[in-house]
Amino acid sequence: MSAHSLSNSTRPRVRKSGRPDATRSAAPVLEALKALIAAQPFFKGMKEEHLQTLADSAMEIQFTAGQVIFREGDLAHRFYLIESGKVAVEVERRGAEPILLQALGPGQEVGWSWILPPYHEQFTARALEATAAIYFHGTLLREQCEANHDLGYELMSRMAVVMLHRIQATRCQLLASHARRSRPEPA
Amino acid sequence: MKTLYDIIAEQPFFRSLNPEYMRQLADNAMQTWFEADELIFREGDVANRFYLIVEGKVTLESSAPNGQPVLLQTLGPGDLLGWSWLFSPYVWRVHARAVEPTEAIFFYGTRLLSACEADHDLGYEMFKRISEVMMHRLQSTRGKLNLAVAARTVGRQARQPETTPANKE
Repeated sequence: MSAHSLSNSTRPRVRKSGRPDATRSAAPVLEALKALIAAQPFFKGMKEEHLQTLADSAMEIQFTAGQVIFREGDLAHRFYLIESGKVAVEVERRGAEPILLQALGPGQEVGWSWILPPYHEQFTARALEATAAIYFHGTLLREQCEANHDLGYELMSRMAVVMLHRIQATRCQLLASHARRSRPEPA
Repeated sequence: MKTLYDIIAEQPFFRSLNPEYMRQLADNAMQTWFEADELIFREGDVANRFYLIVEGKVTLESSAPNGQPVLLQTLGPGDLLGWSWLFSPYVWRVHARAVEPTEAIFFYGTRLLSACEADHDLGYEMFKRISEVMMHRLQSTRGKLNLAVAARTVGRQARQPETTPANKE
């Protein structure tokens, strides 16, 4: 896909405009990006104008296997939709291996802390294999959500579902750890 | 004598909410009381409502894979109880039980969800407020997870090494 190859050189950083270089032949690339965003199940049912707003704050991005996408405690100003690959959501532990909370794949959403105070990442996200994703500039979108509650409702209600899944995964780990702790000791 | 509207307007959860919405919430609400040890909702039941606790104490519980009950959270005055009415498949994921005589405001969630879908100003406000509660619960649950995992690690070091790796799943 041309949209993929174009983003090979992009680095995980925030661009002021949120757009790839908007010069010369940018239009077809932006159209392709918008089509890609419109095709995401996560945004199913969203209005054309909202999809456009999302596309205006997005770019494609690649991560190598093992690369940290964001770390717990980082300022949260972005989110991603996975196009291909696999991303781990991890709970950090001092002096120990992180706890794997969820392994996310294509179509799934990574990062929701951008939408709520204190705007700090609550988990670490790490690419488990070579991963392609769509990056969204959360800070920009957050301001637009505040100004336009139609958009705000659409994004807030979707992010709440993501948060719900993280809560359920955390509870699951907690319950499992209780079961292990109370397992009878071998004689 | 305080009206239901007054009690709702005092709740920190609704702080600075537009009075028109506050009235809409009051129209979908009623006061309710639970006895000590009374089950408020059961995991797996249909979630069509939520509560704000005015007085008393409520615990959220679930079961470990071995059937052992695990306390997830203790809630008190001002706390929101129940968000599953907002999320498909609209069933409770935990048990909620009053552990002492408890006064609460019941809200008809199913009707409010329709109102939120019809009016995104209201919907945005509700999702934002509930997401903030979810954020706090998430932080508290992961705090408990860290403690449980740390306790298990300490316990394991005190005994002989286990044959199964800790992070198998």
